[in-house]
Amino acid sequence: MSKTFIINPEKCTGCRTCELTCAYTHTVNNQPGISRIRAFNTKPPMERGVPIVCLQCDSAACVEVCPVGALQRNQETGAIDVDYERCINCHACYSACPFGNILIEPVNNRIAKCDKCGGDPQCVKFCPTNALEYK
Amino acid sequence: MVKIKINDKIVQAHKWETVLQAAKRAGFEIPALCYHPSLKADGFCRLCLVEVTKGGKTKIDTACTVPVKEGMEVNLDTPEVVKHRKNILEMLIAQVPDSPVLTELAAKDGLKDVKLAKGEDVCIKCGLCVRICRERIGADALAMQGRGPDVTFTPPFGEAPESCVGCGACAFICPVQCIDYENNFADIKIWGKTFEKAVCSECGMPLEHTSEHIELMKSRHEIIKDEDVLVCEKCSRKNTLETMKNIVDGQLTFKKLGR
Repeated sequence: MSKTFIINPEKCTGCRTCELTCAYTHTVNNQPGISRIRAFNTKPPMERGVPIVCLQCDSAACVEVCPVGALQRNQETGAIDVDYERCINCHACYSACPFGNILIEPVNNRIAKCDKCGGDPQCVKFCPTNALEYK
Repeated sequence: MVKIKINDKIVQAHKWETVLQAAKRAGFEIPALCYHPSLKADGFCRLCLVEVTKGGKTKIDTACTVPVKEGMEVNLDTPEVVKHRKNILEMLIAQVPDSPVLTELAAKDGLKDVKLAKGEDVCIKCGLCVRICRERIGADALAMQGRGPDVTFTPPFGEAPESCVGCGACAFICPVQCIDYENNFADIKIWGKTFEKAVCSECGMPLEHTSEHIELMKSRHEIIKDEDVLVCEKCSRKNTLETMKNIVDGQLTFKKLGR
């Protein structure tokens, strides 16, 4: 079985280093606004952040709803990858995701989602408190 | 698997593939405007010409429609292929003079001046918009009308289409970007029709889709539920966060969630 993200909300401090790392890895101009992972700061009494990232669901709504089959599971990494050659920009996956983990890049209006950095997620490496694990 | 030869390189292809698909997978570049990986090839644009040798016979054919066959030899850039491709490109440019895509292709092939009389059309008649709407989106709002040089790809009778859902796939897939599509904050304008976007059931902000498109998605896929699709990205993240928080606090268990 492929590895998966493990999120430990009780360890997260909400420093948003993961967002920055993702932006530096995936975007051209390093914009944290279109980071694939988001660390949300909760309101009191919890007062912490929770990193929210694509869960690569087993029966994924995004894969099912895509009319052209552009979203497919990468058997090596277990991530659901976007085939941009096939994608017709209908944004059905964006609406279908029950967790809101697919985003639209405002620069070119294309969708973006976590691809586990090809099996070596950078956000996990840089998380200072081990709130994100990959095993 | 089938073995074919492309430009003297042996390529392994699937039995169901066409020459264009096999060549693309092997890293060759063939210009093609009416090809899309998720649609059946129709050979509208005629740009993907290659020289195919099969069973001792050589002919020039469109790579997108020729299925691969064991022992087939394909040449992509023989002088004759380039000559024919230039001719076709010249005709396309004469038809649609101001397309940046065509100009770029012409520069690649070294086509400098177009001798044919220039027209004022904006559409290259590739039919991608009709095919994507019919085969993939399932709205079937567009149709091919007329014949020969007068063919047009528009909604039936040129009127605002009844079954259009405003998804914008036709405008996106068009290789020369000739379909007017306006995606505003609260509405979408296409084919002379204005669609109101659906609104988030929690915060009231406009969503990405029209309610017609959401209805179509719901009818085609059982997995789509109102509570997922009628909630905006921000609110769904907030809900996920809320759930996580409740699990950490111990107010909610996975059993209660039904997972």
